[in-house]
Amino acid sequence: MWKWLHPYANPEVAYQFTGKLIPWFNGIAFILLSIGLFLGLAYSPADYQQGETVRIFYIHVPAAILSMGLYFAMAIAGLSALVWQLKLAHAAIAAIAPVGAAFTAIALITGAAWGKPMWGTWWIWDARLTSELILLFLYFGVIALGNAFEDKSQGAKAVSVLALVGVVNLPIIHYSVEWWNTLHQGATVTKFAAPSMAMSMYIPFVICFFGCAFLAGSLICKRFQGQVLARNSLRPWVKQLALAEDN
Amino acid sequence: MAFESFTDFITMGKHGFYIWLSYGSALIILLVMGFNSFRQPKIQLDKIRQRMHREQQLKAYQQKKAEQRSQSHSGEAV
Amino acid sequence: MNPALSYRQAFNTILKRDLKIALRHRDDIVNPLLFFIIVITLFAISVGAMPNVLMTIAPGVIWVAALLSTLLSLERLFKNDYQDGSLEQLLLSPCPVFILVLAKIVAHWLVTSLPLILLAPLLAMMMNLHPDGYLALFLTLLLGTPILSLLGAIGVALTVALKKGGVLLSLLILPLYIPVLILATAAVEAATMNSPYQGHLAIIAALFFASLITAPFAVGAALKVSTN
Repeated sequence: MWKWLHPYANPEVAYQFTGKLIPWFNGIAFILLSIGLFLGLAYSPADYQQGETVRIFYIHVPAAILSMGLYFAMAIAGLSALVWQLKLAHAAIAAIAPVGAAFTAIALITGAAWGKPMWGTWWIWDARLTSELILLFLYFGVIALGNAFEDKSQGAKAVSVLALVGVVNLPIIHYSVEWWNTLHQGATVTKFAAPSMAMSMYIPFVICFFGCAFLAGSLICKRFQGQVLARNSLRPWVKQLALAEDN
Repeated sequence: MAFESFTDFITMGKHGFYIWLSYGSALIILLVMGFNSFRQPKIQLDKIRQRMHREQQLKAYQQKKAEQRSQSHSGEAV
Repeated sequence: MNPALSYRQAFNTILKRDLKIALRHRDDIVNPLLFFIIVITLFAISVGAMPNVLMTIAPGVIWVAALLSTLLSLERLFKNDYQDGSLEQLLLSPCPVFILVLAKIVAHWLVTSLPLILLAPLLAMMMNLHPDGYLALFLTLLLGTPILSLLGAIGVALTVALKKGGVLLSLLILPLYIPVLILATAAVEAATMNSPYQGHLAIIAALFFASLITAPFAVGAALKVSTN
């Protein structure tokens, strides 16, 4: 497997490979999201308890899952940057962080828009929303630390350490916030009290989730390309690309 | 279909505002993010090209300086 | 050339050195304490100094103030050593980095957090904390402030090479402090309501030992990145 993976550690190969992936990701994301959103917004029935507001679910939950998942992905990239000294992992961390922050912001805003009809206020210190808010702070920390360093590879290593520390703390923060929430609010109605999701809701949700995931993948690939170029700016192949772009 | 008419689809049983607000804000964030992300490689290439251009200018300038100096030196020698 | 120091000797040497330096700069010890007192005064004034209101917010306010004053003093942990180059010398020494780091953190905790813990009952009195909460406040501070120092040291080690590290440090570190804050204030609140809080203390202690074991390694890795 290492033999097979090895060529992809070359920045030029990785640049071209991600370039080939992007149109596929875009196409799949477009198809899945149009089907998923059509099913979710127009076709699936309204929830008997929450009414039509349940349709926010199809964007809120995929965004929330991706926001957590991308943080883990970033931490894995950080681990490979520290352990195997992979230069490409540096570019991957810098590419993932803003996309993850964007999905966290979406999860927060849609959560607030859901809270208004459900609880009567835009913001409630609900465990899920509070965790997402803290996750957003963690993303901002990663982005700010990465930008603060003049030397890109030193910054990437610092960010790797921070991402790993953050990922160790994330479950602790999550559970402590959840526990704190039950302590102060008693039994609030959790958003997904329903024990099993109806099939008519589950299918559009899964389609929307994969649509969002492929969209995130395409965004990350594009940012990754930019980071790879910035970090290899003295290589001949990058210079050739820059000159080719000119014409 | 869950809705009788297009107006029903827009109003969504009085909750339309919140639903379209969340989808709209998600769309805006993703559009901004997408626009920004898809320009990244181009921005970096532009930066690299600018730097190459500057380096070339600097080299040309230094060469000119060196030539001038050698000329003035030779002038003094004569 | 003396033979390699034992781990204990190395730890003690660094600890003594840092304590000596700290005692020569008394302002650095006193200023965070003054900050701690002023923040609490500000809270009391802004909320309106009604005894009942103060009583309910006392645990949270005291803990947040303690947390902020820890944050304020943290930056000093590696900054001077980094600037005069002695940090690099320490990293080059044959002794494992985590022992040196641990010694520095312990020295920092002794100098900044210990006075704060001793001062806390006085401020708890000013904040009209329920008498049952005093012991819980003392115990949570005793177990909780080392966690703040240990986690904070990671952030300081990451930002020590940066010119404007101060605000960035708080952005990196404050989210990580949330579990300690939640548990500690909950423990004090439980104590004021005369309900058992040993469970909270046990979890704080678990967090303390977990961070005691893992944080020095993270700090070591971060320092190596920062000093390049």
